[in-house]
Amino acid sequence: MQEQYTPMTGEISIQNVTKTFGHVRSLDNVTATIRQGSIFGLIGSNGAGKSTLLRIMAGIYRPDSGSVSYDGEDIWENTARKQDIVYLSDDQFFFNHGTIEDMARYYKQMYINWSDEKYDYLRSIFNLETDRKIATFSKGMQKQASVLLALSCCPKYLLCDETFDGLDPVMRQFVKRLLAEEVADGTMTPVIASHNMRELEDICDHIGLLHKGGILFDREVDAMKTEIHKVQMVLPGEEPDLGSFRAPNGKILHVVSYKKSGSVLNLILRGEREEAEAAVKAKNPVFYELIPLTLEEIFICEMEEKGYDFNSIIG
Amino acid sequence: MILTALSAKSEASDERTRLLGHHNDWFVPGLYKNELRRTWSMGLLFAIVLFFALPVMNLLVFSNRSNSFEEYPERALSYLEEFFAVSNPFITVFACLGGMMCAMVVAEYLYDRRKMNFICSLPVKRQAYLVTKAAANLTWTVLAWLPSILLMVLVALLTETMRPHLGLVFGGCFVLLAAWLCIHLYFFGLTLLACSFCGTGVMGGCMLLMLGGYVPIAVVSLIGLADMTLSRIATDYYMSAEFFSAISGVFRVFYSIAENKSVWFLLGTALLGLVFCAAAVVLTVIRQSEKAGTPFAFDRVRDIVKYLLMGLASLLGGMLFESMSYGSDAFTVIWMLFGCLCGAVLCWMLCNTIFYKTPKMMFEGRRAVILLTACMMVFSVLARIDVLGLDRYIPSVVMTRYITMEHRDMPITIRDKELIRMYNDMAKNGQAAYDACGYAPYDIPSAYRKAEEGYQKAPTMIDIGTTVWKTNYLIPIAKNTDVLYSDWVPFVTALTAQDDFADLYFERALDALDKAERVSPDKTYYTRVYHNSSLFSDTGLDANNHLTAAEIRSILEVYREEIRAAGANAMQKIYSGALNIRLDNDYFEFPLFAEYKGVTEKLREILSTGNGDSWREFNDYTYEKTFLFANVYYRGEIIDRLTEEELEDMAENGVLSGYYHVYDTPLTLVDPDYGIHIEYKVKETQKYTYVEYVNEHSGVIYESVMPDGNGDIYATQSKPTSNISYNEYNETVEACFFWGKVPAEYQQ
Repeated sequence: MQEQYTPMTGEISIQNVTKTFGHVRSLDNVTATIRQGSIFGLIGSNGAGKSTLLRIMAGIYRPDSGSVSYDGEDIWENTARKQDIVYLSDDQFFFNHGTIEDMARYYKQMYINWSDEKYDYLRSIFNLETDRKIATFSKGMQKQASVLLALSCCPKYLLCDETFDGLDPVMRQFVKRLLAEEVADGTMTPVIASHNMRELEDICDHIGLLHKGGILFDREVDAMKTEIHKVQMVLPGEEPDLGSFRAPNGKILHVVSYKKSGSVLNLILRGEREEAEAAVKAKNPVFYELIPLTLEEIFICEMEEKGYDFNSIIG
Repeated sequence: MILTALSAKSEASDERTRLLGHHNDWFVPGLYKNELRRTWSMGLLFAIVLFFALPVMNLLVFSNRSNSFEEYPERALSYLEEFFAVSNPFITVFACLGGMMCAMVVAEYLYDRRKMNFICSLPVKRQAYLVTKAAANLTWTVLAWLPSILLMVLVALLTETMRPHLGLVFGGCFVLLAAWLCIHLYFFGLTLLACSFCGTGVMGGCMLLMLGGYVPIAVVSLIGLADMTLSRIATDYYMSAEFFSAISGVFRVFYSIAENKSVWFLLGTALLGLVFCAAAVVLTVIRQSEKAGTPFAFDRVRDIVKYLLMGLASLLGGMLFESMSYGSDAFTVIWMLFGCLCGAVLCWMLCNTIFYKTPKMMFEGRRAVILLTACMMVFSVLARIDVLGLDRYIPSVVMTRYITMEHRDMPITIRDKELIRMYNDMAKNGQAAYDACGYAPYDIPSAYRKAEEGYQKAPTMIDIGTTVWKTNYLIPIAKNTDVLYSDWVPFVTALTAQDDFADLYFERALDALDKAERVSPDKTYYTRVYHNSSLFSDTGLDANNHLTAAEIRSILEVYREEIRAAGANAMQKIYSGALNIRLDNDYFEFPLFAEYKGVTEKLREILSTGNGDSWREFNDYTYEKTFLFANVYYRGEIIDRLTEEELEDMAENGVLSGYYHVYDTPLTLVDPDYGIHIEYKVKETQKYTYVEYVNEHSGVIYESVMPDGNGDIYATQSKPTSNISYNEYNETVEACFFWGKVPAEYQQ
């Protein structure tokens, strides 16, 4: 008999996952933890291994080594755990000549948590013709249909592979809002893979950067944003010593990057906002301003610190 | 928030209900229903075909005949047999196609990466998905029975007059329905198994061919190789349907269509189908999802298939090149090896390109192909030189259960122990002669044939049986009747073994020639030694009617000398192409002249002026020259005649022999193709005596009459081969019969 179903609440643990296709090593010893209740963004260039990792997390592929566990239980052929996971492929499958109604019936037979009410509600707001063949839908409409069906399954974990591709900006924001609501209610943990960092910036609270089969970087977005700051300043005298930015507690702040444009200095400092501001003020600037960094800028800095050329990674 | 509330509400109301009826590791009810909905059309198709093919057809025919069944109950049984004979093949083929189609539908998701990803992401075990889909498809297969069964039951309930025989006649329908189901299951399982190895539909079909047909094809190839390299092996047995049905399940199913299928056979077929299904489930569970869309789901299988195909291609390549090459043994062996190499390498490149779906991988695995090609080359050479001694193998008497022979497709089985012992002794003696003198032995049966009645026993070959059969039956017939049969076989046998028969033969042969003088004094005739009773006109000599008798004799003498010179080692000469006289209307070729300078201008002139019929020779038949001019009748007189001593001399020197048996051995055995044409029993109820022919010209009329005295003529034609049809029995008859009375209506 099938394993006893109990709803999951725990984290996703990816441990030393390696996956090879022929002679190509798609994932190389990937380790990560995805906290329950967060929105995890998985970014990387084409061929970085995002889809492979998601498929392994969905129990589609079996890793050559390592494991993916939910709540401590391995996902491979674990139908009880899979009840809480819905995988949204970048190229979702629908039955030939199938309608949304047909697919809904199918999902309902497969997922214990399927909710007719939720399906009806989402159907009304997505405004899709549920008795029309899905094959006749546009790419964006097919994406909407797949999101509709996936959310109606009430998954605890939603694995999205380039889900926002093909959606128009309005629908994109709408889908993000739907996901955010679910997360806010603590009922779902989406994992979203994309090669577009700007896509993930406004929704993800945790980011993992995948490159050549390995995770280069895995941080919380908020933490990243509070730990690093961009400063524009004009100093009255000579250029400062880069090692002389000190916090009030005497801690020397690391200057991640430094660029001078005329009399304006552009710095990126690593440290708490208060520390950075105090260190800048200590230089008695004529003018200074702390500007928030975009996620992309933060990544560039982080990766350059690690010795990578970010542009070559994200492409 | 709204979403969450809706979800909570839904969980509270539905979860318990759905959990109760939810799936397990092997079966998913919801999926099952879904599949039933999606595949109903297939069930309908099966139902319609079965409905019209079995009960409706049966009913229509039955209703027309039921009156006679009342009067003659045994006709119902006869009708049932006819019904089986017609319906069995149809049902078998239909079940085969249906089973394959169903399995393809079940396995289609294995080929679609998108669908595979979707299926594998669902909370369903892989085996549960496959089993459920298969169950849904097979459900329609079973349900397709329903209309047929219902009709039969209705007819049984509503028609009074037909009731007495309904059980018997409609029983046939039930049997065929059951047969259909079992065979359907077999092919369903086989196809599913083949599909589970592969990641594309096309490759799945190829794999099905591989599973179902590789062994028979490989066996045919090996038999072909044996046929080419081992002159005495009886390959005909191994090419039989019985043999293939023993080595191939697919063949067995089809072979059985002509038979009334036994319950055990059907159950075994169905069981095997289930085993295939189980194996397919195992493979589906262990295969990687990402292999969908790739030719093979298992790399090792890809390699195995590749090397199996390469082995076969190498074998066939070697055979092809050897068959096309002429010349010495060493030369043909070199060509054979070249063919092996070409076959293996081409197949390797092709397989790589297809299996990896890119020509860039064409040269993948060089080391393996070198090794395999080398192995196949060694194997081919070893087979060619018969390293296992198959061609010399003589089954012992103890191992021989019975002997089967064929004469013109007519099987004869001999179980008499003494006869079997006699065959065995002859075979051993022949082999001993070969070992002693180094000549190729005559056609000693050597192949180890598996009898259908006992695989551990070794029945024997055709030829030896034929000889003994003739020795024991035909020669006594010839001695004890006033007829002379002109088949060369007993003649040769007589020359070498039975002097008294030789005397009889010569006497009658010379009488035949004397008779020719009266037939056509203006023509030139010659006789062949073994066709001594036949007269052949010679347009070449006719055209040169200015020749004197002495000139003709000198030409003949030259010719005979050539033949004698060649005959001492006839086989080598023949197959090396040295003795090759060919004369067509517009094509001349006389390589003989190049080697034998003694051929005169006169002979050359004869060859070039006649129509060549009597001279048209090819490599394989060159030795037929030895039969020419045994007696020559030219311009009203006998110019030349071989004496008994000369004939015996020719026989003892191996110059004289029959088709395909130009072996210089103490005993010359027979060729079964030139076998018995005098009298034989086909079945107990059929007995033929082939009697007369009229030798008026080279176009000879042959007739056959029934031996029951009524003189009916069943076939007449002027060609050496005729078909005689009686009681649905067809037999081909060769042009060698008694010299005797011609039926009155054909006398001229």
